[in-house]
Amino acid sequence: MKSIGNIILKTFREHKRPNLISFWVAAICLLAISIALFSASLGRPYIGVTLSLTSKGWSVESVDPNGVAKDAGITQGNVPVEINGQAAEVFLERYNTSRLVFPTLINELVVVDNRGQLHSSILQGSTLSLMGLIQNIAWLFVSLIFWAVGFYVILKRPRNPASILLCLIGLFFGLMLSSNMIWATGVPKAAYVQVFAMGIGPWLFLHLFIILPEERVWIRNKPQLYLIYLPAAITIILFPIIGFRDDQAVRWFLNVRYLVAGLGFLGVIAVATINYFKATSTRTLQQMKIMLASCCAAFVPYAVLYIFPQAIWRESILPSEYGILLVSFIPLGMGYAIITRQLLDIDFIFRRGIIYGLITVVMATILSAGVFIVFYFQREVTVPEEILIALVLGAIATALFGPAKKAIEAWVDRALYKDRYDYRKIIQSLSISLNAVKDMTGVSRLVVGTVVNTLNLAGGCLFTKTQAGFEIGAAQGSFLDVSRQRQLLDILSRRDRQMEFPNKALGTVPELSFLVPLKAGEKEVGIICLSNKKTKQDFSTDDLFLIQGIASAAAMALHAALLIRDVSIRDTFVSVASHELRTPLTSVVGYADLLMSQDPPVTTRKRWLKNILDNSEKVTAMVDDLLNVSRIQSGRVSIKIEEINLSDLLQEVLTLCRESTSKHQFVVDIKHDLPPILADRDKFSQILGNLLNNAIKYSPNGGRIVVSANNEPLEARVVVSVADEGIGIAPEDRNLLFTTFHRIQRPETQGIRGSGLGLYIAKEWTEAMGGKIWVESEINKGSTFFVAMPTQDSHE
Amino acid sequence: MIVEDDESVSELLRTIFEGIMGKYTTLCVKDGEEAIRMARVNVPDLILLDINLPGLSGYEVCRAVKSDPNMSGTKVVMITGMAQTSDWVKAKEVGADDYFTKPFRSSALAAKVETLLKSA
Repeated sequence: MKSIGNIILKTFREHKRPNLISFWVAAICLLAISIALFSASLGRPYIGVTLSLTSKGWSVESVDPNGVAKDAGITQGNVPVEINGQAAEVFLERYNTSRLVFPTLINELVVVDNRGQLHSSILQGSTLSLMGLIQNIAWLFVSLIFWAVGFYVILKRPRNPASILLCLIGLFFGLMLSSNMIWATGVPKAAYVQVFAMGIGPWLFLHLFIILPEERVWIRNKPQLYLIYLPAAITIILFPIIGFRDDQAVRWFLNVRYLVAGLGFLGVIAVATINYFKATSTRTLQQMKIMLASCCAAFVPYAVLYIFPQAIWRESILPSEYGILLVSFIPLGMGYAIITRQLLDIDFIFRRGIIYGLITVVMATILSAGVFIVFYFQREVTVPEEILIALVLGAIATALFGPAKKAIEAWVDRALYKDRYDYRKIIQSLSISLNAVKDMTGVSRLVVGTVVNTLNLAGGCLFTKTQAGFEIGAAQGSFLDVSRQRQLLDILSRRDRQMEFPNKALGTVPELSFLVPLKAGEKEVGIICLSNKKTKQDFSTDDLFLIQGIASAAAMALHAALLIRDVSIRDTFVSVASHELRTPLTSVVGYADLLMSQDPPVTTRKRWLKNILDNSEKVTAMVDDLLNVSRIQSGRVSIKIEEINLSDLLQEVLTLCRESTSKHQFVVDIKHDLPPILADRDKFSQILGNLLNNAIKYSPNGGRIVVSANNEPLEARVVVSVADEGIGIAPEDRNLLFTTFHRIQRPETQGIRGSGLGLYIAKEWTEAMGGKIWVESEINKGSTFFVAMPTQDSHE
Repeated sequence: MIVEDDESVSELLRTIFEGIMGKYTTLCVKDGEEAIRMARVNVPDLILLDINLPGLSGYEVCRAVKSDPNMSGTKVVMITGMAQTSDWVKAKEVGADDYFTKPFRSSALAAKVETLLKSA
């Protein structure tokens, strides 16, 4: 209940747009009208006789099997004698031009048959036959399915125009059926509603099929699209003028209406065919398959149960009143196609359908053969024998079901899904191999190797996603090229869902076919980039099935490897943080201990007290770093942006740094015409201090530290750089540099104090202030850190 | 010999053993390589050795000292801020005679050093 409430609240919030409010008003009105019409007509009887004028005069053209007239023995060809209390000639005189009288106009009818016998049928006081009631309930049931699917889809995907159209189709379908029911029971004016609903219906379908493919999103807001409703609008407008005479439809205009509706449905078939064969998106292809499957589910049983038996034996297998129930498959399929995100499942459903269909056929054949044999040899069977036969056959069926299912499944897999059968084994063996690998590089290599080799791709690579962003995990083939990997990283940062698997990422990077996100639950842990095949062949549905399976296995393995790495980094952090806090505390505790037990001269005491003070500050700084990390990670960073004169700020920070080292030479290159930057003064000052302290720490042999600031007016930013001549940073460390708890582990960094938090804090703060931080470095030659901050121009 | 890269802690240790206890002569070094070199020259009775050092780590220094036959009588006490059991196990593996975790009370450290030197 709570989740339904949440959906409704979410929908209400999302539906505040005026066009959606008007949609809801219209939807509720249409629903209310349909319900009112259904309630008024559900149990009401109707005459069910259509009269027509032929060369032999007026006669009964058709008799509805559920009408009152059928019960009175009125049949086709009978001649009307009296209609609605008037002599037939008098009543029918004004219909001589239209040559047709619909059942809606007749309340009382007396006819004479070819043997001269009179038959009389009166609507008043009659009751609807059971089958008539069943038919009415079947119509209401199908309408309810349409409405339920329509409203569910729109609540589930309120922003998708296809949802709105499907909901409208359902409402118009219900309106058409309900108005037809009330029309038949003697309300001729209901024809206006019927024509309105029937006229628009096919064009709503057409509209839906035009806008449904995601590669045709561009067309959704084109006003010209609404021109497709022109034939429907013309028909609806002309109907009261030329299509409705003497309380009933004019025959030729009725044919025009059928023609227009037929054109609409032909358009639907044409657009659906184009959608299927021209689909570049796998999603569209699958949507069309689902819709085709739902239409087959509606029409194939109808053909088997009604059309073929009617044609062969002049009698349907089931009463025709139930036939309309099959139409329910259409809204169900369409609704599923619109809302589902796991479209590849449809192939699985087809496969299951084939397997279970075959199992049913095999079982039925075996059991029928058993029954046939028993009855062939023993024609008279007693009740206990019947029970025994039933039990034995049931036992045989149960015993056969398991092996038969397995055998048929294996046969279907081999015969119809050969590739997939092999693929399933590949995914299975990959999953087993992945269980044995715990590190990210190992997982990445195994995954890329499997997918590239199996599908014979030109190249592939896997990027893992960490706090610092994407980093390369493994690459193969043409994607080993570093410049290609840079292009891919660029694409990853600006991709949208349209470019992600199962859609093709065409035209972005040469040779790139798919970007496959690796998701462990809701969390994206990486992405696989796949090239096209070496043979330039297209990817089959089975290939997509394999990629999806590998992606699922890879995501879970990568997630586990990431967790293991995070735990290891955290352990390192605890160890480092412990060390960094304990060392200054040693001085604080040690000197305090000495002061308690000794009485040193004043100068010594002052020195000891200064040691206590300095080390207390170190502890405070470390605790501050930890608190800042905690605030960043819980999203509680407060930033006060103001205009800052960079020259002044840099001088302040440099003064403090100069005091802390005598080995280093500071070179300042700051342009005089720098515009003020927009930043939080305290935080930016700490960022610069941090970079300068790192430059001092990681160039232990001294050297030049160059601080520059350059204006980049085109980018509306100022870039500050801090360059040292220190130990440099290896490429593999650069991505992890700005993450928490990471410290470069090299012999030269042993003994260099630090928590591994400074650059993480600097990056998070810089980005929170709208800036950007990055590093360029060469091992043993030095590093340059850049911080770009926006200027006032960027806000104009 | 005191091997400690943090000047404040180094001074503290020197004050405890040289200034207050008054009966020891100390030698202070800041990094691992210098520590090995100075130990070979001076052959100290006891080394107070930090683990996290620039250059060679305290473990490597300890291993070098303990493998040098000329320093077989030299006791090594490792002093570190790393407080995990694995650190203590590793210190034992490289031959350390004792292990002290920062921060420490000066009296406790002094007592430990005296006991070790007496047992030598």
